[in-house]
Amino acid sequence: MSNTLDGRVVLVTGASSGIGEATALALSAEGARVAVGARRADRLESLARKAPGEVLALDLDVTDQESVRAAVAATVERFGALDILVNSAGVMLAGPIAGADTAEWTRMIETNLLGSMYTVHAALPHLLERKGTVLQISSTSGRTASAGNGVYAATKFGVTAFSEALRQEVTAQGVRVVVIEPGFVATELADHITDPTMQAAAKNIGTSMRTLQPEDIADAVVYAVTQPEHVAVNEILIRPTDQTR
Amino acid sequence: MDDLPLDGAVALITGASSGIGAATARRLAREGAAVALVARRRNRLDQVACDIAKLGGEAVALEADITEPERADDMVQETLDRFGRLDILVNNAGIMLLNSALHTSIEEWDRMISLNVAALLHVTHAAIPHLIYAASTSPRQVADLVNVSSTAGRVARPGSSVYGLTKFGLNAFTESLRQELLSERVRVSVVEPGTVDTELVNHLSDTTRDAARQQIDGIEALRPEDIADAISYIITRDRRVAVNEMLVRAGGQTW
Ligand SMILES: NC(=O)c1ccc[n+]([C@@H]2O[C@H](COP(=O)([O-])OP(=O)(O)OC[C@H]3O[C@@H](n4cnc5c(N)ncnc54)[C@H](OP(=O)(O)O)[C@@H]3O)[C@@H](O)[C@H]2O)c1
Ligand SMILES: NC(=O)c1ccc[n+]([C@@H]2O[C@H](COP(=O)([O-])OP(=O)(O)OC[C@H]3O[C@@H](n4cnc5c(N)ncnc54)[C@H](OP(=O)(O)O)[C@@H]3O)[C@@H](O)[C@H]2O)c1
Repeated sequence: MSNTLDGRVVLVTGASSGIGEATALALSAEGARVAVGARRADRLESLARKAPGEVLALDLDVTDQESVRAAVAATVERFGALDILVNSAGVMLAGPIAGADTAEWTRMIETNLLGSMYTVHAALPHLLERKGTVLQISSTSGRTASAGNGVYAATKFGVTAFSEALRQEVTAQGVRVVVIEPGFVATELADHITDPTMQAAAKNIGTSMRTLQPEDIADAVVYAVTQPEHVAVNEILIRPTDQTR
Repeated sequence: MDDLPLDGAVALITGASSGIGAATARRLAREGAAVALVARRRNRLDQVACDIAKLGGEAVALEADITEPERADDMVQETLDRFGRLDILVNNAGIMLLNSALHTSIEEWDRMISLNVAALLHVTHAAIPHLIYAASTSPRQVADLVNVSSTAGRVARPGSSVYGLTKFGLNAFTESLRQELLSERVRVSVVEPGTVDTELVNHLSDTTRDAARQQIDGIEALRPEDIADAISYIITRDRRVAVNEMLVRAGGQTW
């Protein structure tokens, strides 16, 4: 079987763990040349060793515009182009609004929302050149808000809104925009929650159902980005079969 | 041959005589499912069934106008009579009569409601107990209900008021059923295609058809097989993975 992404260049943010890591590996297995960015360089190095194809590890803090521009430039310098941007970097610091540490709000907005906007902004000229794809890892929280995840949901609703506007702007120029909205996936995401009740609730969800694995989302990403040019998979909402909300 | 993903599963597909339904029937048969094909045009159903049989698949043509309530119920029973079970229902039959509220006839509105909503409800209601049973007894340990909605179920526009009503309603119906049936291991999902090259627009009046065609001029439409592929992707995921919704437009489609 021929690899469907042979020669394509992908940049994956948040590739040091979870969904981003699984996605980088899956795209590499499909033949893509993959640039992977995150803050933990050691994790990226071990990913690069595991990947079947060529991988470029990049120090990337998506909250820092300079860092974002440098990562895009390094990708294009190394591989000569950029075809697909996967925004997976994200944090979920869940907790009630009353009494919240607003520094956590700032982090979520800067990482999930502004960070993904910065990477789109920096990558877009290259994606336009190649009729490429922007793929956003949003969340079920981008479709329904619930108590304890107000700010996280606000960032993910924001990602969806930004992506829809972007889609309308760049479709005619051949760039496709994909939003994937996963439910509960077994990753490190919930480990960073500081609120003890929310932390326990997340753990509880993780053990009460057959959760998704990062590979399930990577599989959906591969499905979307390997479609022929006349097919735009704009949105995939994917939950564990057992998950209600 | 034994390890096709849908081996042993039985699928009922409404509107299987053309377009998305015919492509989906062929595709699910190729994945190993025995398929029951429902629509009014007997000769077209026979053709699809014959193609499937030639490729070694199993299909039965069930001629019916499912806007007749008893016929909708019959479809589920005839599938059971023929294949003994029901694992997958694809609610696809639909009609799109675009027109302004001022110029349309109430008869056009009634036709869309009676097929896109009422008939779909009748088939679904009859199927649910059997889907639950299939989920608890099949080797797949899951059953699937897939509804074919539309981008018109996400965005309203002039001319699609009642078509949009039926598809927005279908999305809400899908989401409620999803929540109700997940504990029974029946996955309920919705696919929202953009512009697909099918016979759907043939039923429009000359002027609305020309307007619809003009809008898609210059873009390459989706093929029915592209949506069949999305439906197949949903149904063939591991039982713990539920792809609840897929919005798939034609590549050049801005709206
Ligand atoms: N897990 C779920 O249930 C779930 C559900 C829906 C959506 N999502 C979304 O999926 C995405 C990936 O999350 P995950 O579940 O895979 O969690 P994860 O394992 O914690 O991965 C998060 C990734 O984001 C990176 N990251 C965080 N801050 C960053 C920054 N400032 N700059 C660059 N990279 C940064 C992390 O790397 P470093 O720490 O090394 O920088 C890590 O690679 C997130 O957008 C999340 O919102 C997850
Ligand atoms: N084409 C698009 O651009 C598009 C976009 C979004 C959504 N969709 C949706 O996709 C679905 C399939 O449409 P299509 O595009 O494939 O159009 P199509 O080729 O016209 O197919 C419609 C199917 O519905 C069947 N049908 C119509 N009235 C029926 C009745 N009373 N009883 C039983 N079957 C009946 C037709 O068969 P008989 O005439 O033989 O009965 C035919 O098989 C529809 O729900 C439509 O709303 C289509």
